[in-house]
Amino acid sequence: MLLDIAKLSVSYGEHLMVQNVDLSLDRGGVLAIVGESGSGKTTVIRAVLGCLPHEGRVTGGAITFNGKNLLTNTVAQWRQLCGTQMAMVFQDSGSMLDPIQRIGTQFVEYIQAHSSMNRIEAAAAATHMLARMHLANPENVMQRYPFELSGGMNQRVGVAMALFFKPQLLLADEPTSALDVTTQAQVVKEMMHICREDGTAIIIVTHNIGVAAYMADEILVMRTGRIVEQGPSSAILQDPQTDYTKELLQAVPQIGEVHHDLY
Amino acid sequence: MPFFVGIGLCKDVFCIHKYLRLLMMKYLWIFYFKLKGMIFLKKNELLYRLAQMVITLFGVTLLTFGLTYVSPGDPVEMLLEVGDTIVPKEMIEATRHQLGLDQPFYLQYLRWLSGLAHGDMGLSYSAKMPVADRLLQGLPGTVALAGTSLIMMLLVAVPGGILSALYRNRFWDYLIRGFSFFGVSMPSFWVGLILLYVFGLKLGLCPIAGGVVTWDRMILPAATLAIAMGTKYTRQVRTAVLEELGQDYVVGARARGLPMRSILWRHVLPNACLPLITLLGLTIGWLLGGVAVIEMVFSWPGLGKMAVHAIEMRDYPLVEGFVLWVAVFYMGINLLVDCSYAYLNPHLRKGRTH
Ligand SMILES: Nc1ncnc2c1ncn2[C@@H]1O[C@H](COP(=O)(O)OP(=O)(O)OP(=O)(O)O)[C@@H](O)[C@H]1O
Ligand SMILES: [Mg+2]
Repeated sequence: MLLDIAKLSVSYGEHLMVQNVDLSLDRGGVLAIVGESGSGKTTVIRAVLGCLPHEGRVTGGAITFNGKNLLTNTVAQWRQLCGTQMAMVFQDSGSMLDPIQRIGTQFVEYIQAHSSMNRIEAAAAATHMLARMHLANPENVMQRYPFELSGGMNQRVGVAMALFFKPQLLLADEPTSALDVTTQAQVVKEMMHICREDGTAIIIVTHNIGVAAYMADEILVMRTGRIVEQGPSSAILQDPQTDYTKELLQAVPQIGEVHHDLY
Repeated sequence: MPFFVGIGLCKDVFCIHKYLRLLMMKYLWIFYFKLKGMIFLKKNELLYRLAQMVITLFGVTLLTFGLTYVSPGDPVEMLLEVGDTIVPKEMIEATRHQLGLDQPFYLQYLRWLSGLAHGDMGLSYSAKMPVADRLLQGLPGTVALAGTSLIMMLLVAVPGGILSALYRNRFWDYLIRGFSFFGVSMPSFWVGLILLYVFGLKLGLCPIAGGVVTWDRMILPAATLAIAMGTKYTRQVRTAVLEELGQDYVVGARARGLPMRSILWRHVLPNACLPLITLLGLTIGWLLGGVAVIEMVFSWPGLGKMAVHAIEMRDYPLVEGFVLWVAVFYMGINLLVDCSYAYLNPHLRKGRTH
C-alpha cells in the first residue's frame, strides 16, 4: 500500500469542508477523483501534499504514505518529501511558476534543491525531461518565461518538472481542463506514458470523466466534502449507483471523443 | 479657479510652496498615467517620450509663470524696501522697467523662454546672481540629504516590511505596524524638532546650528526624513511582500519542495520589488526637489529652503528656475524608473514582440 487515507477531515477556519474521506492507492495505481465544483477534490489532494491554503487545517484522520503518517511531519520532512517522492501538477502550471524567471532557471533551481547536480548537469537533465514530455525544441523552452508559452506547453513543463524525480505518487489537479480537447488527450497520454515507465502512482482530479475513464483503475466520486461512490472505473461508468454520478456522467458530452482519441 | 484663489489668499509660504508642488504633482501624474501604456521603451518611443517631456515642461513653466504673475506681493518693493525705508515711486517704476516686470505676461514669458533657449535662466533678484548658479549652490545639500535619508530609510523599511509580512498578525507584525502607525501620524517638522531637542540640545551628540553641508549636521535631518518616509515604506513593503506571498507561484514552489529561504529571496522579493520601484522613483523625485519643511527646521542649505526664500522674496526667476529643475528631474527619474521597470519585468520587456 503506497497511500492510505483514513477518515480525513479538513476545515477552512471554522467550516468543516471535507469529512470522513477514506481512500487507498497501490504502487503504480491510478485513482481519479471526480465531483462537482466545490466538492473538496482539491482540498483532499492538497492535504496529501501538505500545502493547504493558509486557513486550511487537517482536523481529523490520518494520511499514511509508505507506512508513515504524514500528519506528524515537520516542515523539513515535508520539504524533502514534496517534489521528490510526491509531486503535484496544477491546473494552470504557468501561474505556478515565478513570472519573472526563465523556465530553465526555475527547473534547475528545483533540481538542485533536491540533488547534488551542478548547474550544467541539471540543465541538461531538465532539457532531457522536457524532450521526454514531447516539447519541441526544449533548449528554447528553457530560455522562455512562463508567459511566453502556450497553455499546453506550460502544462507539459509542469508535468515534466513534477515527474523529474520519478515520484512514487503524482497528484494531478485538473491537469488538462484548461486545454483544448486535442491537447488534453496528448498531455494525458504523455503523462500516463512516463508514469507507467517510472511506476508512478497517480491521483487525478478531473471534471472530465472521459479522462478519468481512460486513466484510472478506480474512481472516487465526491460531493460536498464526502465520498458518494467509490469503485473500479468500469463499474462506476457502466453501472453508477447514485443519481449524482449519473448526472456527472451525462454532464460531459465530449467523453466519447476523448475516449476514442486515446484508445 | 480654486487654485489661483487659494494661492492669492494664502499668506503662508509653506502653503504656497505646497500648492505649487501639488499643482505640479497633479500635472505630472496625469502625464505619468498617459505614458503608462507604453512602458517598454524602444528607441523611437524614447524619442517620443522626450518630446512629450519638452511639451510638459512648457506647460509647467507657463503655469508657474501664471501663478507668480497673479500672486500678491511686488518683487520690486520686496527688493528695494529694507526695514521701514520709503522708496520713491519713480525708483520703483524704474526698477520695474529695468527688470521687465512692466511688460505684459506673455512677453515676460517669451523673454524668459528665449533666455532659457540660450542657456540663461535669468538673474535671481534676491541672491543677486544667475539663477543657475544659485540652483547649483543648493544642489549638493539637497542631493546629499536625499541620498543619505533614502539609504537610511531603505535600511529600516525593507527588513521591517519583510519581517512584518512574514510574521503577519503576530507579535513582530503588530510591533512594527504600531511603530509605523505612530510614525505616520507625527508631522515630520515636529519629529525634526524633537530630534533636535533630544540629540542636539540635551545629549549634545549633534551640532544644532546648520547652514553648511557636513556629515554630522546631516544626521538629524536625514534621520527625520528617513522616519517620515520609512514609516510609509514599511507598510508598502509589507503589502507588496504579502501580495506576492499569496501568489500561486509560491504554492507551486512549496509543492516542489523548495526551501522557504530561497522562495523568499529568489522569488518573492524580486517580484515584490517591481511595484516598489515605481514608488521609489516618485520619492526620489520628491526628495530632489528639496524637502522644504525639513530644510527649514534644520536650516539646511538645500533647494527646498532656497525655494521658500525665493517665494518669500517674490524672486520670480529663481522660483521659475526651481520649478523647471524639479519638473525636469521628476520626469527624468520617472523615465529612468520605467526603463528599469521594463528591464526587470520580462513581461514588459518582451510584451511588444509577442
Ligand atoms: N482558501 C480557502 N478558504 C476557505 N474556504 C475554501 C478555501 N479553498 C477552498 N475552500 C472551500 O472548500 C470547498 C472545497 O473546495 P475545493 O477547492 O477543494 O473544491 P474542488 O472540488 O477542487 O472544486 P473545483 O472543481 O472548482 O476545483 C469549497 O466550498 C470552497 O469554498
Ligand atoms: Mg479544485
